[in-house]
Amino acid sequence: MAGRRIAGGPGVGGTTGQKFARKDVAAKVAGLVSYSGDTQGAGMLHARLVRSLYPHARITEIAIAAAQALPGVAAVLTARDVPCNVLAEDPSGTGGGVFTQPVLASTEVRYVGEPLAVVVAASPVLADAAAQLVKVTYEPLPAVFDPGLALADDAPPIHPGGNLCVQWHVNKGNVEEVLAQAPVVIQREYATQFVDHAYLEPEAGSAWLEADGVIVIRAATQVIEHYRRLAGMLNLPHSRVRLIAPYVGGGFGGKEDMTVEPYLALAAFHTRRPVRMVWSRQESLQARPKRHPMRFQYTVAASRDGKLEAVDINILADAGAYALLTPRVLFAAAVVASGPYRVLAARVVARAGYTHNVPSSAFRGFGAMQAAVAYEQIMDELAETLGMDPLELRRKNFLQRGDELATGERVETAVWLPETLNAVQAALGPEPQPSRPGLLVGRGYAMNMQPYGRTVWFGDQAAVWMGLENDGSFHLRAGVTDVGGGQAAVLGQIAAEVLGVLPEAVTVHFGDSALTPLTGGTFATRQLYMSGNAAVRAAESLRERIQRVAATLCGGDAKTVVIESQGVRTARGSARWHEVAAAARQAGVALEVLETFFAESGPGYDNRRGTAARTFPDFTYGCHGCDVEIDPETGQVQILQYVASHDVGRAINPLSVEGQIQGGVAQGIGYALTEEVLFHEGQCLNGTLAQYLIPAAADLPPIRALILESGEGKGPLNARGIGEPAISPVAPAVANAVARALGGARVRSLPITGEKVVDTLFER
Amino acid sequence: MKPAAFDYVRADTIDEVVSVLAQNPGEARILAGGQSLIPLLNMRLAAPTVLIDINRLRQLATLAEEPGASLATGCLVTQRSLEHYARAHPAWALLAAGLAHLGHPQTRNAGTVGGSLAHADPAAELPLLLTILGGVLEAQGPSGTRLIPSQEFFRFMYTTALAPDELLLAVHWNRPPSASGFGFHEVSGRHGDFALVAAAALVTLDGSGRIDEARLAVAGPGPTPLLVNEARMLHKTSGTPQDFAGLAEIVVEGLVPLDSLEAKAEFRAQLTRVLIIRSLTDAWQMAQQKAEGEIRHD
Repeated sequence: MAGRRIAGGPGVGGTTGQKFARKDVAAKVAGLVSYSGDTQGAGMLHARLVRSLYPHARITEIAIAAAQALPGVAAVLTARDVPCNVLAEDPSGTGGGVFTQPVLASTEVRYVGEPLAVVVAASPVLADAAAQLVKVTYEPLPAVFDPGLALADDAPPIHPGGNLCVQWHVNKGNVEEVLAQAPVVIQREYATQFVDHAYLEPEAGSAWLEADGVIVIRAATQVIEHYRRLAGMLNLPHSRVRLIAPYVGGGFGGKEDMTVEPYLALAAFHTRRPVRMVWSRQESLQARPKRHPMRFQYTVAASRDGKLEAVDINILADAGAYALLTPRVLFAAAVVASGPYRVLAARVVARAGYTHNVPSSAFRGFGAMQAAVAYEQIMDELAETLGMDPLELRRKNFLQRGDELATGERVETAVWLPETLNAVQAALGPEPQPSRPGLLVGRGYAMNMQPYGRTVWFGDQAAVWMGLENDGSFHLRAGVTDVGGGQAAVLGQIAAEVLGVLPEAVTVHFGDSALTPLTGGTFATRQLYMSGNAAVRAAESLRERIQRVAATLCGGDAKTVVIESQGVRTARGSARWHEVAAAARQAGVALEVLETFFAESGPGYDNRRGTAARTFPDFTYGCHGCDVEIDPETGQVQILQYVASHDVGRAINPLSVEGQIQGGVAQGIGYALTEEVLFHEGQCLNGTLAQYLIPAAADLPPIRALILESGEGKGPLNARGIGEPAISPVAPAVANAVARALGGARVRSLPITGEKVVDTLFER
Repeated sequence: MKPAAFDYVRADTIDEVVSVLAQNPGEARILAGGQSLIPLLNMRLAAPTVLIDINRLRQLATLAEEPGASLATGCLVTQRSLEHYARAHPAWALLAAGLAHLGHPQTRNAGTVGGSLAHADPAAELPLLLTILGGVLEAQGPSGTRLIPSQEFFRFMYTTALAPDELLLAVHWNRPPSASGFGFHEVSGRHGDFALVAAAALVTLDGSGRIDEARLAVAGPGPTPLLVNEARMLHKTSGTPQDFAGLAEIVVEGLVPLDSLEAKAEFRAQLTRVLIIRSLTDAWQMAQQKAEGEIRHD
């Protein structure tokens, strides 16, 4: 079902498609926003984690007496203090496997940084000192750090069920047969690395116990629905735990799994006092889940004139020590592994192996991004083999509406691959020229398809509440978490559009599991799609009620009632808001509504056959292109210009869309060129932002965002999601430009460092 | 993280600084611009018991040309002030070129010349610039002031000739010959990061257009900036690419480059080779342009 086209209210709304700066942005720039770590009060305690120093060890003792004895220490909590010390999840949603993880490890640790104890003390300094007094006795055990080795027969078992975390299959046609007969077959391998979310705001929050026994956690999280898991951990009814998410200073998937929440909840539960916890950047880089490193083996067959015939793909990911969202991430990689192209036959095997590395989990792009690194590079390599222009090869094979994906599902919305490619090509202009002799230049492109919304078998839903005050202002309540993309503000804008009022008339209250209707978390590029559609419904429903009351009050047809800032008007008369409110009371009409949007749902994935009637609700398509200049003697890669285009269905606030694209490209450039969290036997080697190189302003090229609108998204007002799509094509676009500049020599692992460029040129 | 506890002394006189240093041998650190020290404290890589803030000693924040062809910079002169001065005075253009790579305008506004030199990071720009230009450092200890020639100042990574009870007062930079040309090249992980390798060269030509004097210094591969003595071998050569490449090869053969996360030894050697050649080439070309300009003037 396509999203309904909304004509906009009959009044003064109509801000859709206009660039405007959100109020929260100005407040953030002015330093007025109170983030999760900013809550500090008298009597507040400070919590710190004691983490494992070994990648794999048996724990024989955790001695806490010395820490407990330190004056000012309120509690030292270990596994025995956790009422239910297991977090369980079925991340694929298919019943394929329930994965468990302890809140605090007690007998065995499986990665460096795994939490063992929570120290709660009167100040951060005391908490640090006490944490150092907790004496853990380890018996080191054999460890494995490579997923390939972990899946070998003689590898030490990481979990009782073995070291295979997940294995997905996608099958279409007879790959063996097509490969055997194909005139051109190429085979390539690509590799990606561990990277960190490196958000501005660290993992942080506070927690306290209310007089009625409710434990409140106010934390930087993408998912307030974690309150249920926290209640489970504490053996409390779900209604006794409340999770509040103020504005989050960047999530990118890194705050999708819980971070500080369980430890804060435990500390408040045991001490009955307010507690604060903030992780250091070193903790974050060492011990927070990372983006999955993946290794890709691609075999691609084509006809001599460049028609793709078959793809045979093997993906191996490093899940790290615990599953977290690995099964879901690998699924996204598997579904889009053949890219936005028509293929007659496809076979994808996507596996993740456990290791004793830090767990990998959600990160903007979510597996589909790593897959783009492979499928867009091999398109260029195939073009080179065929002696074809890489863009011509792509155009020949572009997916189109009505086509069947490798999973067997049909694409039913607009696929604006040619449009985005044309836009980028035109914007890049003439081919780059070296700025001085000796330098090499190249231009590269990458297309992508990125799902938005959860896989259909999750039966996803989101609820929004709206109400009218008797002064004509509106409340909108939604449990969205706003990670900086304007997830809250846009709901007000959508509601205003539907009601026909100015966005300022709608105040959005968000991110409170007890007081705002649940929308589901901000992940999977689902928030606009889900909550946005719920906001449309809530605003429509409220508008209809207002119109009904107004028609009674003023006379005339309800459908012709116009909502204005002072009140309502019909052809026959007008009424002020307080009169509308009084009339509604009189008539027994509540000017408040709760509407729930249910996403399209469907049966689970058939992993045995490797097919589905539908996986994700829809995809966002796009094209990125850039010019690079390379100094072949030093290997330094400079991006000269960057252009990114996506069909976003409809740009509700183009400024926010552009912000997502600019940010996605910047983050993607770090992934492409400089970022890698380095581990040696599980120990992080570059645990500061002086060593882990995220690009700064001076390192970034001019980035142009070209927003296209097919009008065919499944989100509100026909919008498509853009949060994740904007980052996915960056690395392959840069890699293709670099390979062009190097005359076909290609660095097949990320990041493309100066050192690798020099080595690659040397080898040639 | 936050620093370990320390005592804080805000000094009003140089004597006070020296006396506190002497009372806390090896335990006190000088706080100037704080651009290196504060992160080290916060990371607890340094844990001095006393921090002596010298920012009130404004007499140490002066910059002046001196007779005898040198530029005196008090230790509290900011990197940004020196950069502005160097940009406005072509004789010091090499300083301007090198300082442009030092951190960012924001850090240069706070970071001091003396602080960077005394910190002696092996990949920092100011130690390299002092090594190539040459000069004298003035330090004060309990028994008075003394002068330290630049070539004796850097001893090892983060280690200088300053005694634990000495304060670096000022640096006297040698002014390069007016006819000389210079080159400065650096490769770093990102804009403003410490160099993986940086190289600086100064070349003066004789009347016949051959090289009269060549100076060359490299930072990054070793524990201190390296003044390349072998640059003498360029004397009387005509500065061909082969001459420069030959010298670069000799330098690289003699190096055991630092092997680190940021760059493996082999890559550092390659960068050293390339940046030496580029710096010498730039310096030679600039010297030639200056010579031609003078000929035209005559």
